[in-house]
Amino acid sequence: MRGGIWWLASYPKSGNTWLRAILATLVSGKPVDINAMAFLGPHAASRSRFDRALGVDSGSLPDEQEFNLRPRVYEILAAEAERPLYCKTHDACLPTPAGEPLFPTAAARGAVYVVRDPRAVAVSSVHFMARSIDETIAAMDNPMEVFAGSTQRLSQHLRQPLRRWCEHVESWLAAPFPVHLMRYEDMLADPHAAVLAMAEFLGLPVSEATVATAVEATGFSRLQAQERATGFAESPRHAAAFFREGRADGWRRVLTPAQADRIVAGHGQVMRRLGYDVTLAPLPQAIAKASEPAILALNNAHAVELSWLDAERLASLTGQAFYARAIGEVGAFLLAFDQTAAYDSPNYLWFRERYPRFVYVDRVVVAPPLRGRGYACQLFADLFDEARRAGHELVVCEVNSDPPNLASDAFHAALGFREVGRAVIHHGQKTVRYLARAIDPTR
Amino acid sequence: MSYAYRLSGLKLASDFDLPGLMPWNGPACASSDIVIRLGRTPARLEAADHVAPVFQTQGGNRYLLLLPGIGRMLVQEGCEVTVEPEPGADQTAIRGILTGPIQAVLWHQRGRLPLCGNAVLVDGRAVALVGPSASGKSTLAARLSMRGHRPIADGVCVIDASDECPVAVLPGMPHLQLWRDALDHLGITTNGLTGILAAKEKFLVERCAGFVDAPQPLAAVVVLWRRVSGALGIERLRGRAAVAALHDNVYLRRPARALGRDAAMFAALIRLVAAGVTVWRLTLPDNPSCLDAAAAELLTVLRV
Repeated sequence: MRGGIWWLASYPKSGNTWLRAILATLVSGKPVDINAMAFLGPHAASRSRFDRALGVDSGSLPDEQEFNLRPRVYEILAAEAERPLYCKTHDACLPTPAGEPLFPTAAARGAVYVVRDPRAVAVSSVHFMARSIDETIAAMDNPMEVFAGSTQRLSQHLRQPLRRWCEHVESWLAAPFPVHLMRYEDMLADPHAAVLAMAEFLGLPVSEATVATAVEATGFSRLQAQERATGFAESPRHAAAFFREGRADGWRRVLTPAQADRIVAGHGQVMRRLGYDVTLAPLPQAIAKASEPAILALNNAHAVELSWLDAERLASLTGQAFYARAIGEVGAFLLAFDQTAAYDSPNYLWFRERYPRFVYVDRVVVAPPLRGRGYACQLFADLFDEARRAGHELVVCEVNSDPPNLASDAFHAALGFREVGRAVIHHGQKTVRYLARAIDPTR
Repeated sequence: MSYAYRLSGLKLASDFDLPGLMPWNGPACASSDIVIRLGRTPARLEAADHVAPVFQTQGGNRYLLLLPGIGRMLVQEGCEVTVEPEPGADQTAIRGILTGPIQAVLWHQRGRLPLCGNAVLVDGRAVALVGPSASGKSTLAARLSMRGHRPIADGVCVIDASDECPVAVLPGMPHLQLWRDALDHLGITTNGLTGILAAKEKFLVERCAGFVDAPQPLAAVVVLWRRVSGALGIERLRGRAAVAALHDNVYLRRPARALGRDAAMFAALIRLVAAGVTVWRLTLPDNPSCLDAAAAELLTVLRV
């Protein structure tokens, strides 16, 4: 085979474009222009390539006949190519309705399959497809899911069956030609090794220097800068930016625990097989304006321990808080101030008189039905990270000692808090213990 | 024959209803120039010169289209089409293939140049809008028709670039074929429109009353290049670039080449450019709000 096709395959929003940018740099030997990657090869679902290769008009064909003819297109492309083609595809690697492989073995040299944690895919898709997270998660679990399958418009791309996310992955890993699996997360963590391994798989003669150039030229900030300067022709019109975040764990700040649980429930087996940590939980997220009523309700259900708030007061507190984050649809939240807050609580003032810099935990609460899931620990761990990042060395709080609260004492002790003082407040009605926990700046 | 149509001055008799074509309005006794009939077709062409996955050709005058799940269509001598549908084949697909690719083969065999696109009249001369599937040709034509420029062909835009006359467009389907998405953007309701594809929301839209039968002199060809994002732009193509852009948009170029039409196609394209037909490349962002600006800019450059 002189030409033949290397398939560059992935579920949408898994890093396929990044992969093509790297490959374009390797193949051409020049830093990539993101708007000039077509030389690699046509998109597997290109409608105009289908029409031209076959000499028929796909727009008049029913979906099934169109799908059945696609293998013929790849045979023609592979046979007519002067050099190997690198063709992008989002299709699942499954048989056509007529029962033959969509990607004929005789036309394929092999495939590079890029996979990304489906929790991150869900978040990335939201920005790309103008769909909610819940709709996206449902779509990723839909066996009938297709890309560009609208019956109301003629897309430049043919209809592409995706199936469920986990089926998509499995279909490619079982392809009847060599498949090189690349994890998006590994490309981020060690791009040099990832690029080298891919080049070796593809049989591209590359030197250390060309790999270094490719890695350098396709760093996320470089691609973002190109998109800002010249735009990106493959970006859909409703997406603010195509190269958005380029992070492995950004989803942890966006998904709710229930959403993450749904993804793991649907695809956990394949996720584990790929080495994704299914026990990773979403991280606390900044309290949004929209969730303030829920925060108020949760707070005021525990007004005895936390002190009652109205909407105005809550807005004022979150406005000047050092840390105001919640988990899920406000199943838990934590509010903390640094020493600069205009806050009149006697406990806060107690610390301010004694310490020049500190982070004071004003309130933390977990809704009763959600207790025992480690949400409070998560909030504190996240708070300690934020405090460390801001250069703080001390996180402080108080607990009641009269009436005593043994559970709270044990919880705080386990987190590393120790007593630094006591006071009697509210005209002798309450005795509190003041606690502090040191933040190690090195970890 | 159950149906008779008028296509570019020719009489087309058909066993198939072909929505969108003009009914025959000449004398009933006139003999047919093109006949489309239901009948038996060979499973393959004897002594074929060219065998591709979905078509075969023999010489310049026999073309067989083989579409599993739909049927076989044999086109001969530029005047005779035989259709053998598979049992249960989608009738709307058969009609769409007859009015699209099969019409294009007929014109190739008749020595004309079918481009993939449509044509509208601007100041008494034809402007062809061509481009690959889904590049926005019909939607732009609809926008132009709303400014009073009547469509004279859609789907297949047939050019007559033979030596004896000025380069002209042969009027074809006088309706536009538009998808729901485009109609929504154009503010056209789908109530009462004829759907032309099963399970898809594609409709025939009548954009003018009356009927143009005579060839219309061709002023310009606009090659659409749809980009997902980016800016609207229009540039003149000249010489070799113009010929190459047009060649890219010949309807069924591959089958035409197999039918031995390559040299004739190039000769027609060169004649078209040499005769002073201007060729433009219109970069069209995938954003319906650009359509109006595209139509306005196009009219401006065409009228300079």
